[in-house]
Amino acid sequence: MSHHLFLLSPSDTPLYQLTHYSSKPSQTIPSPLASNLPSWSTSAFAGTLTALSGATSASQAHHAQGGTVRIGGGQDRHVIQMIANASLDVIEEVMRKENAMYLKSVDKFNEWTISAFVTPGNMKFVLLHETRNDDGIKAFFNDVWELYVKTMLNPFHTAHTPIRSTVFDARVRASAKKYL
Amino acid sequence: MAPTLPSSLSPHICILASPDLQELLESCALPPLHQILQCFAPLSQGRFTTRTTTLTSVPHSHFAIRFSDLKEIETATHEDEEQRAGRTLDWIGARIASRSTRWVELVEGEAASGKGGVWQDRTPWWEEVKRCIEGDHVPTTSEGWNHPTAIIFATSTAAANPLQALHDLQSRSIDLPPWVDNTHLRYNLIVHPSNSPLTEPIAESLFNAVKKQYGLHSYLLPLSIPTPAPPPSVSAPSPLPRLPPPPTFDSPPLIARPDPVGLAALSTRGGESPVLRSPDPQAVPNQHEPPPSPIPPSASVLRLPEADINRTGKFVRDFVTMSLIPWMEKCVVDWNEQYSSSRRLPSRLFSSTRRLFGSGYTPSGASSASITSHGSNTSTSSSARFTHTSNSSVSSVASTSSLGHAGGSGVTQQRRLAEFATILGDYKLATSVWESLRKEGRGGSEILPLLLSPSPALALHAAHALSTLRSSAQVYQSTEAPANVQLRALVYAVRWDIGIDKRDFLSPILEGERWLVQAAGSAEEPPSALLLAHAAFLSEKAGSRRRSALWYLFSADRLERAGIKPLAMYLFRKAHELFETPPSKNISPSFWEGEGIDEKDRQGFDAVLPAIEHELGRLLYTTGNTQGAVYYFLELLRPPTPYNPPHYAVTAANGMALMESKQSSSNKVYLEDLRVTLKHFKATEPDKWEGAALKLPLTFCQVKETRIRFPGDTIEGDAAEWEKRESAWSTFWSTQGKEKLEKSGKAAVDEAFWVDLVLRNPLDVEVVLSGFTLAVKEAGSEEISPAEDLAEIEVIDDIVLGGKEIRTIPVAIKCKRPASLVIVHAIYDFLSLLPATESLAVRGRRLHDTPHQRQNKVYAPDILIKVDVEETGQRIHANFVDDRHMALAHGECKPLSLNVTNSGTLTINELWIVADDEDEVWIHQNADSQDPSTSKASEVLHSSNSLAPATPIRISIDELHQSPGLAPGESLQIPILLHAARSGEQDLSFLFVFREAGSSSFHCARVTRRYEVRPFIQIGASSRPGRSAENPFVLNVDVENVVTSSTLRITQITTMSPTWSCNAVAAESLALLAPQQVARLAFHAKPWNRSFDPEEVTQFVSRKLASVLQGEKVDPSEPPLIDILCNHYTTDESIHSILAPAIRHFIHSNRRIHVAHSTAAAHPHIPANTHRSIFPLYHPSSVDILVFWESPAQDRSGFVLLPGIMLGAGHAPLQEIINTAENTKAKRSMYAETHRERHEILQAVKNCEWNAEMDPVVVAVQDGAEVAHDFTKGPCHAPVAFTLRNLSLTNPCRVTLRLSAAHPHGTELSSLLPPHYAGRLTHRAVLAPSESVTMHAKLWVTRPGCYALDCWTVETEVGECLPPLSASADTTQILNAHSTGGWRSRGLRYIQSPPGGDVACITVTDISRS
Repeated sequence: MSHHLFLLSPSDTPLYQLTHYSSKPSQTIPSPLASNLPSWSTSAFAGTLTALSGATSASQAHHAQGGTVRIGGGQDRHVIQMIANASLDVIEEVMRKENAMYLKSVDKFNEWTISAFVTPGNMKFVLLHETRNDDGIKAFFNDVWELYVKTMLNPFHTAHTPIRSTVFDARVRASAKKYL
Repeated sequence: MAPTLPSSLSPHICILASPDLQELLESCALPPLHQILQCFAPLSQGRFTTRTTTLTSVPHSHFAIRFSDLKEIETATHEDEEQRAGRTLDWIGARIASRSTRWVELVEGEAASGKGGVWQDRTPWWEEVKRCIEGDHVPTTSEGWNHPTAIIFATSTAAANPLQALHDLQSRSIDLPPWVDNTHLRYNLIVHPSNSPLTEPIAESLFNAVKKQYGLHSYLLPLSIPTPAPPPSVSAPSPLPRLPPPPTFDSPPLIARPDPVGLAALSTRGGESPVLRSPDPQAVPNQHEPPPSPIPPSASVLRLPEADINRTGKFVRDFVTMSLIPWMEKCVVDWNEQYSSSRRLPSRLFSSTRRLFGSGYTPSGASSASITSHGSNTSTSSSARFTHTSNSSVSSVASTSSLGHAGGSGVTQQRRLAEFATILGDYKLATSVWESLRKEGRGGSEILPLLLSPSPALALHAAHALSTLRSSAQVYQSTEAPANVQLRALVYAVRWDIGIDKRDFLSPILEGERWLVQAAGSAEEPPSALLLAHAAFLSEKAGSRRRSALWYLFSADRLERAGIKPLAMYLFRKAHELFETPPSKNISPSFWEGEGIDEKDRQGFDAVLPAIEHELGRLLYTTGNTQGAVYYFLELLRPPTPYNPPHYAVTAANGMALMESKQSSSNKVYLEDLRVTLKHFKATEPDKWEGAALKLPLTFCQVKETRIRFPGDTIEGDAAEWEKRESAWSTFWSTQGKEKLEKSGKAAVDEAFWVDLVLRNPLDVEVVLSGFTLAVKEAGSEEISPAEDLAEIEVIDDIVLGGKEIRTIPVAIKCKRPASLVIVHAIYDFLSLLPATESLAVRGRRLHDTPHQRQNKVYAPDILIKVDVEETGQRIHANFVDDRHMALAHGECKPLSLNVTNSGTLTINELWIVADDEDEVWIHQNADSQDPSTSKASEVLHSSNSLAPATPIRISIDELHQSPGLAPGESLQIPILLHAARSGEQDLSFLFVFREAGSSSFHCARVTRRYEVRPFIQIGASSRPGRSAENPFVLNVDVENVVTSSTLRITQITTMSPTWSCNAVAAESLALLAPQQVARLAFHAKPWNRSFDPEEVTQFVSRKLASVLQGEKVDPSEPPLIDILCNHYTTDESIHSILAPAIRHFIHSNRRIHVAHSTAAAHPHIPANTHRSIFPLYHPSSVDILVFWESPAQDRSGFVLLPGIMLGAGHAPLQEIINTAENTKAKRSMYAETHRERHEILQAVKNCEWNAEMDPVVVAVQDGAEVAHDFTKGPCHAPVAFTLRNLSLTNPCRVTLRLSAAHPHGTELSSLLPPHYAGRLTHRAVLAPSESVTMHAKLWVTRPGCYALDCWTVETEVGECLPPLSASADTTQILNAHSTGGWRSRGLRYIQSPPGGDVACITVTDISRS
């Protein structure tokens, strides 16, 4: 079970991204609403399976090595990024309506639920996750926010600067380990 | 407002035509009856009114109705539903695949034309899916829409016996499966064609007979066909596509059904035209003129006379209004009666009890089981079916399966009620029935969104409909939903899309596009992919461009996997385009300006575009568009932008898979794809290759680090050092002439120079650059490719650069004529395939001159690399003969040889060498000058006494070369001697300056060599006043061998001083000095009789420093000459004469370097270039020690100079000028720094060696005397002598010796007896320079013992040396003479007492005891 965190500048430029593989068992208790939701999330990897089983081999017979960058069933990096990008539409809409920083689960794409956090400085923290964990995510976002504010205290850091601080990275990872 | 229902939610009329009717139609080249009738649906002329159960009228502007052939339906219903669904999906996929190329061209063409066309608000592929789904007319088990509402039995009067024919039709058993609802209207139609054997009245009577027998639902349709002339064709809407029958042995699967005979298409594939009109409500069937729809020519046509069309239209209208609608209204009323009665209390109790006992909904499998278990019901209905052969034309209303049917999704009467109510527009009733169905879990959620007004609940209905569908599919336990489920989901989605108003559907309340995505699910079939594509399309229209991009990507990916490549490419392109153009954001412009970042530079997610582009590239390649693929693959090689976030965050998350390796592998894949594509492109389409103008997005050259290297340049030399040499030369030559030194940065004709290009591989994969070369042009000319006669440029075959590697590649250029070359481009073939050109221009500096330039970024023109190539007139090439690594010992003299070759075309007559000021180098110029071998123990060296730095040395070519000039091609060996005076790593760099003859300008060449000097010998020296008057000073010299392995021999020690003459104290032999051993020697120093007057030098310094202190300009006069006495001490026969020019030169420069350094350190504020006219080279009282050594084992020899030992007393000779400087009225300066600097200069002068002062008097106490006395005779007086000597060579001094009984402070702890002086306790004397006096005192001794001779003090006052003092022996006279008034004190007073630890003593023994 993995989580993907993106920190986006006000211009939606990703400044930091993190992939966290949670060791916690996935919570299988469905919410009361879940019966109303499509239940096909279990087959998220169907695409990958078909891809692997050679369903498309005809079209790429002479590109045997190309399999690594194939669009798979949702685990590919660019698909994750695309989903995060797509969620910005809803996040912006919710931002207009709500005044809170923590936007809870704003959207859902296939198996990915998207939670967002918008700082007063209009930085967006976007988290892709597979299970509901509102409290943990809220605590995690608050931690990341605090760490981000500390990073911003660096006078050489601007809203455009990608965050390369290893300290920031390590602490975000620690927080992710704690809450997610 | 009544919603527009999809046409698939309309009454389904089945037609059973008699064979004679079919023949009739065929003979007139007309399609089957159901197709003809279908052309008249939906009904839209006039107003239709239906009535609700509450008898309210509902007006309809359209009334859709579907006709089909009963036999087709019968066959189709017998096919397995799942199989049929699978076939349907495949069929839709195949239809889309075959048309996608044309659609994409159409849509792109329209988009390119820029004006909104048909495809602005819809997409052909989705319209096709909709048509295919809407065209489905086969009844299913789950819903009743396709179950026949009415059956028309049609016959014609052309039949032999029409009545019998009708009877046959009526009595034919309807072969539909039991689950098909058999509640339908039975209707009779008699077609009366013009060629009928029956006349009009007989036909009328036949019609009356039919009405009598089968009821009023009968119709006589007189037609004028067949007409003699073929009627004009009238365009008609093309029929909806229908799934072909399942394949049999002789019909291959998925072949489109041939066009119906009568529907002659004008275009070749009219029936499959992408232009769809049937869902278009404007397509009115009865219009005779072509309908005003976009593209009529390709529409189908109907070859019916106008009168027949009118009659048929009337029939359809009559059928609907007179029979169908009243019958349906009646059904609704009846069923509603039953429904509401079942809703009354008991049944409601019953149903709620059932709900309590929990059969909320059951899977369809279970429901079918429940159907079979209710065998009685089935049999009832089937028996009822068979009873329909009775003459009652209205089927029994109650014949359907029982009302309280528990089956989940079976078609119940209640569902039929809901459907009929929906069709009739009784939405109030319909909604309530659907709601109750939904609550019972028997469907309805999919229809409710069409009927209810938009609210968030609709989304839940839709989601519920889909989830119910899918949860039932879970029975199959497969990863992908079964075809039937996929199809149903697709049907739902299509109905929603058609039935819900676009604005409502896209509103944020409903977000209908999400429903489509949910309906698509994870299915891989093309229809699902198109659902996603349509969702993306809707999202784009709704303004959610980013979400739209995601769905486009998903759908494109699925389509690609399904093999529909043109459409997949189109969708990928859409995703690409949408992702690339993010929505504009309301961000303050300062957000960008504040950081100086251009808004266009914003970076999105980094992995997305490459992934899409790669897919596109590969799709293009596989579809044969190699050129397009190449463009995409080239784009993929874009280097990552610096703004990108670090990858490491993604790389090692929790120590999981390394993304970095994936990244690199993806780059590798891109590169490999590019290589394959390029190769293919080049090989197969050479003409396109020419015109493609492919451009590599990568750059390899680090332009700013490019350097030009000339053959004369040495790589090792420090550029600053060379500049120093050149400036030293120009300083030197400025006094001699005006000729300039030509800069060395010029290349010569026919001589190679190199362009050092720094190449950096921005990718992390290995790349090959082949045919690497440069493009040059002549400055001023426009053409880039130079004429062949301009230059030869090296071509490097293959450069293999590893991932991220940085390498310097030198490219040789040989110019053939003098020119100014501009190096414009680097040219190479990327991967040996793609020719690439890279500019070597550097952006000019940023301009700040005008406000415009300051406010905007304006740069000076680009800077190109320029090389001037000149004639090889004067060139030399110099190198060391022996180029091996050189390790020298400290002080070693090493002969070296320099080889100078004239590589130019002109003779060189003047050659200079500029060496570093600090390098000790001697060039043997005069072959005749022999070392003056001398055997004298002392020599006199005449020194210029000047600190002037060394000047460049002119090489006398005629002496070394035996000819006055160095002709071209000739070479010359210059012997040089290097003295390694300093330890450490050093560079020996020579600048050769040369010219042909006088008045031409100079050229230069460089040579450098690195060498190392290791410490070898260490010399220390110390001095102390001597005890005797003849030898006022003793000099101790320590020579230490610091190497650990080698023995060395000291061959000679020479002392050099302008004042002092030194001689060894004892004639010790200078033995071998073993490793780590020290040799000690002592020398007596006495004033040199031939000494010059030291005053001259002192006064020179004092005069110069006075002007420094007063802030005046120092006049540039040089110090007076000086003679140096050199005393050699050796045990050998041979003596190294220091008058040998080389040694003399080395001594001079060594001394000069030492003094220059120490002066610069002591007087940092006096400008260094004035030092030579202030400070002389030798201090008059200094002594230098020169140690000659040799190491026989290592075959080395050399000498080390230890300069700067001062002997003799100075008397602050600069005191006067210091006082003057201190006492002059200080000029006030506003700068504290100036003041402080002046003060520091004064302090430095005060503390410098030229202002040294010391107590010139030394006291020698007669030590170790023994006095024998017979103490029985009483105490005695022991004589003690104090000798006081004036060390000063210049000044007299007045001394006072005081003897006291008290110990001076600090000497109480002596173990000796304290002295007790008697008699005269104070002695006075005046000492002339170098004079000494002995004062006699007495010690009163009362007992024998050892008496310390301390407890004295000597006070000294230095006097001026105004009168020439004769060194007279008569002390008293001098004393008298001075005491009478000739004495002038210098103001320097000193007091001294016995030094600590002095153990001078006198021993008194008692002879009476011995």
